[in-house]
Amino acid sequence: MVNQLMQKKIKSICVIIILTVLLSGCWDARELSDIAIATALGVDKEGDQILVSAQILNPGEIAGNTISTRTAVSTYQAKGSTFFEAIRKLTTIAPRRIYLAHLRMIILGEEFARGGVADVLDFISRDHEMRTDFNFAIARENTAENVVQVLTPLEKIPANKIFGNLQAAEESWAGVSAVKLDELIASMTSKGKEASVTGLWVIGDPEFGTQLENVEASLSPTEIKTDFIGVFKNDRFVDWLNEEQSKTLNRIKNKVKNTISWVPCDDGGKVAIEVFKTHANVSGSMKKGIPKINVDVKSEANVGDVACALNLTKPKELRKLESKFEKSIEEEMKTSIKKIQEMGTDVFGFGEVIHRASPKEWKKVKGQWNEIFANELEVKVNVKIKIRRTGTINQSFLKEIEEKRKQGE
Amino acid sequence: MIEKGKIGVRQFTVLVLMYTLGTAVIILPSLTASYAHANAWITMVIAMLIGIGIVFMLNCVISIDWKKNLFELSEHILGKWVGKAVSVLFLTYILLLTATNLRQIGEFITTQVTVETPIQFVMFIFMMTSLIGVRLGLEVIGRTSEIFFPYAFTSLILLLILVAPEADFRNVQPVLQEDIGGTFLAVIPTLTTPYLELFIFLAIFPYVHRFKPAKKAFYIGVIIGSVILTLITLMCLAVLGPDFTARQIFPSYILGKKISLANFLERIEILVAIAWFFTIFFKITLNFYVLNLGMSHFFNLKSTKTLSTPLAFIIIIMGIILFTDIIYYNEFVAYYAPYYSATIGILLPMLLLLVGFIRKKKKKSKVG
Repeated sequence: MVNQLMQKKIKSICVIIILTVLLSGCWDARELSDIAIATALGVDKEGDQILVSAQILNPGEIAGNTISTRTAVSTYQAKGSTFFEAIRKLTTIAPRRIYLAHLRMIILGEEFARGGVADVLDFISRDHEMRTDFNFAIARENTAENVVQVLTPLEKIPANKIFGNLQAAEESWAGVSAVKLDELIASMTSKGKEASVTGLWVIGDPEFGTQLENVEASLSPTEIKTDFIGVFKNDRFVDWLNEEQSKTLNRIKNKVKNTISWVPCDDGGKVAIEVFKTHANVSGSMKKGIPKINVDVKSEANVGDVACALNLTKPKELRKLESKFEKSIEEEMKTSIKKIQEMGTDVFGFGEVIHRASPKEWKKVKGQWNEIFANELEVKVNVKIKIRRTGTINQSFLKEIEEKRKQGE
Repeated sequence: MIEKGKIGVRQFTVLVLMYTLGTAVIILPSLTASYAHANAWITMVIAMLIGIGIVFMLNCVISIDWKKNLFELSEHILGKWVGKAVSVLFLTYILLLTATNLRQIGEFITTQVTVETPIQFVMFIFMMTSLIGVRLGLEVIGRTSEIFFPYAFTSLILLLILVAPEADFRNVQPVLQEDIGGTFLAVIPTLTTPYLELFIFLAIFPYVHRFKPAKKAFYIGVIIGSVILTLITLMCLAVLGPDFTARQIFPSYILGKKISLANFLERIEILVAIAWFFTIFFKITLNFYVLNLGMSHFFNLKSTKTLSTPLAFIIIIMGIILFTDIIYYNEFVAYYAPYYSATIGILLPMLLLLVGFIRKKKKKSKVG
């Protein structure tokens, strides 16, 4: 009896020992001190090789309380025949293995983007460490390595600054667009849509931006600015849109959350409104081989900035102002769409609209859609604006000042 | 009777539901989307309707004599020798199925979750858990399923709810205008998992407390499971887009990665993995249990436990050597598995039904 009990005890101890070995779950455990967290990757072309610049966090600088003279991030670079090889080659100079799950930005050099980005996208969607929640951007008239190296004030991690910058600008300026991996691939593979990615400018001397001095000044001499949108044809970058065109693109893609626009007043000066709600309804049809697109934009706005003598106490004046804005935005959108049509790449996704509206007709034209988009597509734009409020004051005091000045004369 | 335990009707429903979701929830969206593109969810609906037909047929088979399990039934209807031969066909299929399912969970964990852990290890741990389950008997399996069901079910429902804000239903338009051929063709591989595998429940039926409610429970489990499968496929299409879904190996896991509520509730894709761990665990365990049950009948053993340990190791080894690589596996699932499964999952039960029906008539005419 006692023997049996002993046996049972020994058995269960054996099981526990085996379980602790098997179930510890630390087969490929990597401690924070063993990994180098990459926050941004820059991709450039050098000859027929790919140059990867990785922005790696310096954890001690971010979490520590002691102030040192080191930078919060370090950049490591490696070249390889493929993107994957280049990333692995980073380990030859970085002290730890690169960890990609916390990536915030992938920055493509303009030269590189012109040559096609599909190969890089394949690795990004194939690798298990890569998630889909980081943004893409193109280094405008620059290489990605220069952008990755710039240190930024306020946000210690430059990648975070760009990421937050994109988010903020998308929400309250509308000239940029934060594009994520699945959207990018979806628009590159779709026959009725082309991709568009925001541009990053380096203002000032990129060389100086890599030094800590850059963030010591109150007005940093070198800064990264997000503006304008670059358009793609297939996976190749083609051209930059200007400000109006970028805004138009975002309006049609329903990405505008908040933006401002202005018109001149009748008697000189300007008046600006804050558009806080915009919804674009894009409908299309294709009859007898003629594609047509209708864009209906409905916006709600507040008067934000009056720099002329405008009578804001009469509803009639407000209606007049509304129609003025409607005309101005309509005009802006129409010319922008024309210009983008001339570029010959359908970044709006009008092809997909036609596809949904008349699938049978679409089959005949999907092969040469970009040509049809450039030459034959008729786009009608209709803007409706409703001005709701005038901010915290009604009548502007500018009128009184104006009158006083006139009296003085 | 070899198995003396009994399970309740609710436990039976849960087991059917878990079995239906099992492998399907993570591999079907990609499989259907690669043939049917934006219409993949329609494929799922069609497959569900046919699946209900299959359940009806299986219910008819077991109604011949519901006190006998699948293996007893085939010997009873077809005679000792032919019956045994048919049992061998069933058993080989279940053996391969269990090994395949084990490989699937191993592949998933090694590609998405813990990449450096050897696949043999993952498979070993899963199989050992199933082995413990089988050795403890059907009653324990039934009760455990009841305990774990809420976790699996809530994870899936949470996934559907949390990812809903990201959905763009323009991705699934135009409905049924293109790839119509593909939409209907994709029904065939879709039927393979899970509908053509449902015949294994014929071996569980006799151990359910009451027969009539169990028949109904079979329908309910399959229908709820199919609706969840359809919704998850629809969400994959609407959130990720048909192209992206088709390109992924485990699209519903990627769907989990898209969850982002107020920049706060993020990186919870392991929710999907949890749901899958539970469902596939019960799928493997049930398959393994039926395999043991059948083997004991075949060799006239007294207990289902006798062969369980060696069989477990055979399954682990088979899971490793069955498929050389993931591409071979995908091709097998899409092109070859449907014919094999259709033979075992439809033709053989039909044969049982037909012969059983003729025999019954003969008996009646003799008595008359």
